[in-house]
Amino acid sequence: MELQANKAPFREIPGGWQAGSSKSITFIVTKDCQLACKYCYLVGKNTSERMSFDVARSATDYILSMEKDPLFAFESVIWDFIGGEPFLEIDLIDKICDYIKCELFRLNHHWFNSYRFSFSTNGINYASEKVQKFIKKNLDHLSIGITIDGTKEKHDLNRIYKRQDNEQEHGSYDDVVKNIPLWLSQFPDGGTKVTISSNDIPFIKESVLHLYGLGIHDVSINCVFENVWKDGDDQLLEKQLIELADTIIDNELYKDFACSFFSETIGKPLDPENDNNNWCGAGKMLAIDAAGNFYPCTRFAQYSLRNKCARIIGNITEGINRNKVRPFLCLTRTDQSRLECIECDVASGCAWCQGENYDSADSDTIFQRSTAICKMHKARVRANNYYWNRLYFKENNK
Amino acid sequence: MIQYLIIMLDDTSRSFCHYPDYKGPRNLIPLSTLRAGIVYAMKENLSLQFLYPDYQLPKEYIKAINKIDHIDIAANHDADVVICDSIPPADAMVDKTLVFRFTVDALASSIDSLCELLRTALKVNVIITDMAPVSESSFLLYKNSLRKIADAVTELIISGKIPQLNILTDRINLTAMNNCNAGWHCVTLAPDGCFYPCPAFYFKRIYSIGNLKDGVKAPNAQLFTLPYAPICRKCDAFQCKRCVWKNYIETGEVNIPSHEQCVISHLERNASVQIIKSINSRGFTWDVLPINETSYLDPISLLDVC
Ligand code: SF4
Ligand code: SF4
Repeated sequence: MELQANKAPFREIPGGWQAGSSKSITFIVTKDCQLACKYCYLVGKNTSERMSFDVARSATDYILSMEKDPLFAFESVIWDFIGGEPFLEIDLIDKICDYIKCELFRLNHHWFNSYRFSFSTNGINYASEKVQKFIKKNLDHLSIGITIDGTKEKHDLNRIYKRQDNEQEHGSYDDVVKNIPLWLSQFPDGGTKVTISSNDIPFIKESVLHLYGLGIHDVSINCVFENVWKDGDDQLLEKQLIELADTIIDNELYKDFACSFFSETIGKPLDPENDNNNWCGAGKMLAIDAAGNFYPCTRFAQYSLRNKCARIIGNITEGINRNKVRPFLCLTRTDQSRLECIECDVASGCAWCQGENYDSADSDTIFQRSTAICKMHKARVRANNYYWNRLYFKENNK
Repeated sequence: MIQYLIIMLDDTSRSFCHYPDYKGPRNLIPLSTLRAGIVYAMKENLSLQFLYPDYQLPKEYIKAINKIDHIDIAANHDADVVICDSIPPADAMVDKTLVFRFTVDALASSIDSLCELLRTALKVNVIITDMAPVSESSFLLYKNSLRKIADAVTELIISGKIPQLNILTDRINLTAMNNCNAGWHCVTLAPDGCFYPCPAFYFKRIYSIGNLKDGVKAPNAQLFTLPYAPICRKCDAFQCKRCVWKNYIETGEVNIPSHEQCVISHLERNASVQIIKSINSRGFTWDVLPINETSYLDPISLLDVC
């Protein structure tokens, strides 16, 4: 496919649908997946924990009964289905979505006019008859992201099929890439999320360009939050990103394509009072597992945690335990950061994952920010500065 | 900075606070651990408090304890801080510091005798043991109990005796937070030779914060301090225990209180406001700082969160 540029100054990664005004509710429909990605944070995947329709229905009933509660009083709702691989449970998902729609209508709930079903899939089953039927039925209320990591070499480095002991490693690239044209025809603005671990760094540039070449205009990338980074990884990342910046600018790809590594807002100091929000919405979101337990986000369910016990904040029979939600509502940037981070000159855009913070903390707390990503963020900031300096110069001197 | 060391002499040392009494077998602290704990306190300049079980300690233990300035906390009328299982006669408690561990219901049915004690005791500390979860009816009952006790306290003050009752007069006397401060100003040495923020953490074997060999090394020690408690640092219920153990059990975090803890402390705070108002309205002046009325019972509403 040819890379083409249009006349816009530069493309930006769009904010999510109704970002900031939607409640995110996640059904963990299965803990199974066809793949065994090497960087997958889900340590407790299994084939047995599948959500039953009864659990999903009870969760929906509870949530819809809380319409006026401050924890649920959002303009819109995103019903998120995750796994493992959510489309392994397409029959269940279809039934849940039908139930949600009927109940929203029956209850005259204000979310009836403002809801989305959202999926992040490995893309393997995307073209199957059942998934396609579901997509056609719900197209106006869907967002679907397919995860593809870049070139075949990069993708297959991590995103491999589950295998028995003596089976050969087998990447999933070919089975995913064949579904990309169909996906883009249904979701022309579909973006993909790429996760970078230490071994992936040498492939970043060619992978992003490859994804652009497949017709994906928005590529969100992040370095994993876990402490996997080796000496010198930061220099390697910087070099890759500078090469990527050069290619994007030389070919004017920035007009039509976006890569989340480059953003005008990152790498600035943050005011401890006015820029003090938590990074993510843990606590304002709600995740439900097959047992009917509630979590502040899926990363706090046991299958996501290496070192700590799950943080359950309620269940479908007793509802939300508000005391367990209080810490999440109170989280600010400064309350969980060390002085070094609070005073950091390039703090903006330095992300964290609340679940990883908890999992790697020295005590059972969500108030200790993991800084494993620090040197990678600083490398990204240097490359990002280079990118914008080049881009502004080029645009201003046309 | 740590200023106090509590040494639990036995697993069955009596509870002086929110956590329940341990009902398991005795487990006396080894004499060597006791001695090492005392030396540790001396080297670190810590004030010592000993927490006693209900049985007589061996002589060598008493000898070791009496070699150093300390405070005894025991269910024994001779102790410096007396843990009371029932309400003793007021005359027997002249100038004593007493601790009562009450459920909300038990407090409601002990009001008269408790008020009698306020005439003679030096200080009465009431600990509410069923703080969470608490129903609306329990809140109401506690509020009513506080009102009745506040009336008695008001009469005593007008008559010239200023009683000390933690849940009502502490807020009037304090100008800043004065919480339990376990893990911050105060740590506990348990019979297993390890340090814990307070005995409650020892019983659950959670949050060990060091041992006699390596000293106190609390991971995330800052979370025990007021500046790292996002709700409490905005609050002015200065008398609140801010029980970090209850916080941990109810919310999962030592620095975040339950809704119930906040409501209970604000009912106390509001009752303190009423005492000052009643005294003033009867034409007496009491040289204390005014306390503002608040529209909330849970200061989480001061934060911009839902
Ligand atoms: S943390 Fe403090 S208030 Fe709570 S039980 Fe322990 S000593 Fe008592
Ligand atoms: S009332 Fe609540 S916010 Fe105030 S000190 Fe007590 S626990 Fe903290």
